[in-house]
Amino acid sequence: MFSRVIYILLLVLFVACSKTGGERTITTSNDYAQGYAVEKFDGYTVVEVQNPWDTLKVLQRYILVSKSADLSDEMPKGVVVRTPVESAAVYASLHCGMIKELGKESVITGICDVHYNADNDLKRRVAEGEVADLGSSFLPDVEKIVSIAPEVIIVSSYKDNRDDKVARLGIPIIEMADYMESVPLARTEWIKFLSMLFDCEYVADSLFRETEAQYNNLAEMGRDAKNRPTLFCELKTGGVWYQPGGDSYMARLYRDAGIDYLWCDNKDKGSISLSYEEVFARGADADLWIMKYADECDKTLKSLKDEYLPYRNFASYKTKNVWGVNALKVPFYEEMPLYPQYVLRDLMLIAHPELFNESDTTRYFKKLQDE
Amino acid sequence: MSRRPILFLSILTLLLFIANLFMGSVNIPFADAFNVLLGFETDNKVAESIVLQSRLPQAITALLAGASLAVAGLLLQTAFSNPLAGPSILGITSGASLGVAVVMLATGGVMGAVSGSMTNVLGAFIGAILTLGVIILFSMVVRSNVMLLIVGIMVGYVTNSAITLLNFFASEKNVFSYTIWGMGDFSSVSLSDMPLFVGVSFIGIILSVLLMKPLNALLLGDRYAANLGVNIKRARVLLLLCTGLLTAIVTSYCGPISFLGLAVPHVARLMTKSSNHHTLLPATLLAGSATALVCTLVCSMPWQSGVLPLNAITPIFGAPVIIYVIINRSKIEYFN
Repeated sequence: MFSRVIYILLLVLFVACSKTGGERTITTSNDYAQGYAVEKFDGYTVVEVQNPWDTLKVLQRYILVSKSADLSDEMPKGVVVRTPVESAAVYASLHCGMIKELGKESVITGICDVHYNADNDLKRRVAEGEVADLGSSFLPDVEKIVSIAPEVIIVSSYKDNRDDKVARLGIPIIEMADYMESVPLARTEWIKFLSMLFDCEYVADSLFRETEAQYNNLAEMGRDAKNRPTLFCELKTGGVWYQPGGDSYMARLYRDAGIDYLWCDNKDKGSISLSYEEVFARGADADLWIMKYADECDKTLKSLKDEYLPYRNFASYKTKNVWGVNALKVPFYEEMPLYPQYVLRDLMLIAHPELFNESDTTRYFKKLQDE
Repeated sequence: MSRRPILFLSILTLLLFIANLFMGSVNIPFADAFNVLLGFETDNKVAESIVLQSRLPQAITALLAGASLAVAGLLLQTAFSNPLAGPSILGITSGASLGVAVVMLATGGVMGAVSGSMTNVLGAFIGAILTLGVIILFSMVVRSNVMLLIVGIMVGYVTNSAITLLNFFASEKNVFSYTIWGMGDFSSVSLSDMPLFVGVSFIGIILSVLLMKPLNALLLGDRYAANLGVNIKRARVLLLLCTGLLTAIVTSYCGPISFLGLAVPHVARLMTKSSNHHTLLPATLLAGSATALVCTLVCSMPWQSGVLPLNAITPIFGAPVIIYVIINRSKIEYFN
């Protein structure tokens, strides 16, 4: 009888061990990012990137295995990436920026959309032939990718833009769905995922902690601010006036900055299309008007009026409380995902100048001049 | 005999114009809108701004753009004796689109990426006039109308290939602005742009009225027209110039509006049951305005969120007309 119990116990132990392979597992939960989850096993790490359009589904499962370790059959199914990655083709300039922040720019061996990359150093390396120009990110040059043979290809995952030709190359494609995160710090936290590829998690961790602390300090000030100025944004494009959805990244920044964004009751994560009439009906008396644009010349109150005369009817136009960021002149979109605290500080300087010193100036936004 | 359709169309256009002033994506009390329009004092400053500075210019733009495109379509259909000719078929719309593409995409937004700004209008106008010039040059060499039509279509293809290239190399944001421009919009002409828009449209429309006589002669065929003393070559150049001007000004300000120019002349013909331009031209003008006003109204109905793009609506009105005409082509004898 006793030996039978021992036998059963041993059997249970055996089954339990064989299921996990006897490995320790640690699930690292992200503080903010919802789009990926990390589980660490002995000898390998599993990163699951969720499908941003169907959060119940997994978009990709990556098995990160050190180059010094052996692959084993017990590892779960997924895209195997051997770390540290030493060469990568990177489609988006934003991810190039993230890799640079990690101090790993030397691993970038090919980039897309060179013309729109804000990094002059990288452009120089392309000109010198050190980094390959892979063409447009919508239609990358497959032959060039093959010729540089990167260990991974880092892409922004678009819903309908799965490039089968590139997928067939057999090179692991790292799908970054960071831009789908609607909380500023969540988007920043994706740098941790990138850092795992290059075995420099400690760098990403300290970078993230610093950003987080600065952001949360500012956001606390914003929440405590006594007055909350009202705001509407952007400009009319053709017949449509897009405003950020109430649950979007920008709306979250406005809220954290202590601003009463006029469409904060909306539940959209993207943007909402409105007519001039609708924006004017709600925003006629708003205190602030903030816009993002990309022009060779900075916009002025006069150029706004010339563009579309009814713009001058807004109270914020009359009181000259119109602010804009010219993305062609300042690296706004490049820096915002990594350093949302800078944008937050700008917004707070605009909305609550009383909380800052008089000598403090904005980094990206400028008040629109008369002419 | 054919006064009735014109009277009906006049009343319809007037009613639609008024409806456009009173209805939109924001609900404005009837009394407030009424007071604003009659110039009475009102406390509702929002209503005042919306009605006078947004709805009124938009309704005037729709009225003139609809009329201009429809007349351009009619002129081309008569000139080419082809019921499927329209302002977009000669490549003029594509020329305007190329002009805008150069402004928005090739310069990387250097010249202002926002639709409705003066640089876009200028780009579109220059693009349209240049393609028009090419077509007129060919019209001197090519005798046959069908051949000229084919040349027009080819010019359209070439400009489209340039646009595709520009789009491919442009930034996402600029491609987006360009796409939005391509969806058509009557709201971009503000009161300050009105004099130019109204002026050029009027010149085109008056020129088309002056062309009524040679147009009627052309219905009988080139040889008959020549026998009637019409200078065919000059008439053709004038026709092209007139349609080019009308299409260019509308496309510059409102984007490429599909189907209006193609479908409306058929509606006018079906209503007046005539191919005499003395009746057909005014009917086409009015039907064009009415159709454009209906489309504007549908685009900004209060029960939907925001506004719909114009080109999502115009084919709904245009396509059934064209299909009807094609199916009943043997019964409807427009051209000899």
